[in-house]
Amino acid sequence: MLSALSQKITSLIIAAGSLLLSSVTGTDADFSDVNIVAEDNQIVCYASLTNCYSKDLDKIFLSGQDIKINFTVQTFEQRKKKPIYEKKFYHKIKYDLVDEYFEVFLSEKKDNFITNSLKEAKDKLARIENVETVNLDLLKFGKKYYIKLIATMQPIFFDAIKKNIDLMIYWNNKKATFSSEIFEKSVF
Amino acid sequence: MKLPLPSFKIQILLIVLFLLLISTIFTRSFFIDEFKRYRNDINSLELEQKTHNLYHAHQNTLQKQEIEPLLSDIKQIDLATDLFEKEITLYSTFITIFIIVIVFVVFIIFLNMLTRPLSRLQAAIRKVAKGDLSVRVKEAKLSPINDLIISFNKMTDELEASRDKLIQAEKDLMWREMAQVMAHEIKNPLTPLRLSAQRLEQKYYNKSSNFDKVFTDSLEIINEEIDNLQTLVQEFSKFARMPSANYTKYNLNDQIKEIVKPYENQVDVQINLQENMPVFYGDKMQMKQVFVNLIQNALQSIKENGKISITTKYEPSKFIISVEDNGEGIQDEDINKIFRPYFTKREKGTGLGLAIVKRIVSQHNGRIDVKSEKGKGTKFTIVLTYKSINIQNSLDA
Repeated sequence: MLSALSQKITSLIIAAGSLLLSSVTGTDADFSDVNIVAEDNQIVCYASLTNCYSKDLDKIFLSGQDIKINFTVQTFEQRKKKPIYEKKFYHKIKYDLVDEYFEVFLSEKKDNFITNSLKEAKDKLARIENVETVNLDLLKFGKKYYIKLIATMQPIFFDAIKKNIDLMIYWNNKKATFSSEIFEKSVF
Repeated sequence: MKLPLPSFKIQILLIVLFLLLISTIFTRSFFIDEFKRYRNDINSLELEQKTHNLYHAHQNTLQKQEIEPLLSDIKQIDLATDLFEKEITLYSTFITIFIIVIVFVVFIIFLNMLTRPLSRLQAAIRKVAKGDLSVRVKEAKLSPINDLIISFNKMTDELEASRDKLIQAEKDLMWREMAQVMAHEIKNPLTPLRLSAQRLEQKYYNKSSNFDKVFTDSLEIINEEIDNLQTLVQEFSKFARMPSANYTKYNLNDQIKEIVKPYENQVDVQINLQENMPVFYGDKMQMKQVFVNLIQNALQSIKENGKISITTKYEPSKFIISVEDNGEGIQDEDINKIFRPYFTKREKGTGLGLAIVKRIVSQHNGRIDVKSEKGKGTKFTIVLTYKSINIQNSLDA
């Protein structure tokens, strides 16, 4: 009974402490080099995720698990809550443990990229290029719009030790987000 | 610069906190170090490298799909161990802090249970030392010193009862002594009164030839003894019905100079009065009584080459007057009794003089002290704590 009681108390302390602190030192992932341009009657965007990697994440990349970063690109009319256009895609990295190379898959292009270098793989993983946001025909003159970018990491499951790991703890449990400046159709 | 020591309670708390910190931190560090040692042992096995080497050595016979799960498991275990190490470091810190806080709080509660009743007891002892025997300490049933508190309360109960009995016994003794003196003082004039009356009666019935002379002599004796009795009654009344003080402002030094004049022919009176004494605020008649009684007392104790010294001094909020003689002095065992009503070692005297002096001084918020040495003399010092008034403004006695 004492053992059960002490376990309960310990769990409570850990749960309370976890609200304040994490065992993992995270980073504040963010978007940078954001470029929004019009190409072929589409508004496309280019951007890079920065400050999104750490030594702990590197170890996880080398675990051989599929690691996914989910991206969402939304176009909003000013003061409207629902986006007029939304696109979701992901970038995946997998390390081949036997042959020791990285494979990066970009779902928006259905493109695979293979490299031995972790750095190159990470750069590819974090970069979004030529991603369609909204067709210009959907925009109306005189109205104001903005584009929002969101990135999150998907949890992974270690089947050997039956443990779920929420990778967002490495981003301090905060999504990477970016909101563009307000623009009008006439700008493009 | 010497830093002041913290209180006993703070010292104990600091020591306990220090010991708690040391013990919990060392315990935590020990287990974390043990885990790190275990981890290093696992790492030193280099399972991943060995598996790679095995695969490359037997690439013809081993399939990639056979080796991959093994490598994945090794990696996962390594990652999980790494995460676990971080978690136990953090959570052990939480638990350590939690234990320290809980133990510290519990200790403070127990310490308070000990020190609060002790503080109350200490404060009560100080009051008892000042003479307040009515103080009692509230019992603290959970405190380890509750028995001590109970004993203290019993002790003050008994002390209070003893003091009340003592006060009553002293009062009874005083009344008995007073009655004895009164009886003695009244008996003294009664004898010559009775003798004179008997003599008159005898001479009258015998029709003596010298009846006229006997009548005159006896009448003189009777009147004299009636005067003595009247004086006794007046003194007694004066002491019993001491009137309340009638305060006025006047110069104390001037009063003393006036009072000593009649005595300068009888004895060497030296006065040493502080100049520019502030105006005194008191009952002029009562204070005259005080000085007269003290001078009379000194005169009665002086034999030959007698000298009486009177000094006045002013200290902030205090008038200090002393009357000193080089008379026969007072026995040590009588020093504490001289201010009692009707206490006297003289054949003549009511024993009320010094009792009246003490009462007047008390009425003026003062005190009187006496120092005496048998054969050398006696010194009475009166300290009156009255505020001074600016002599320039208000000498309007």
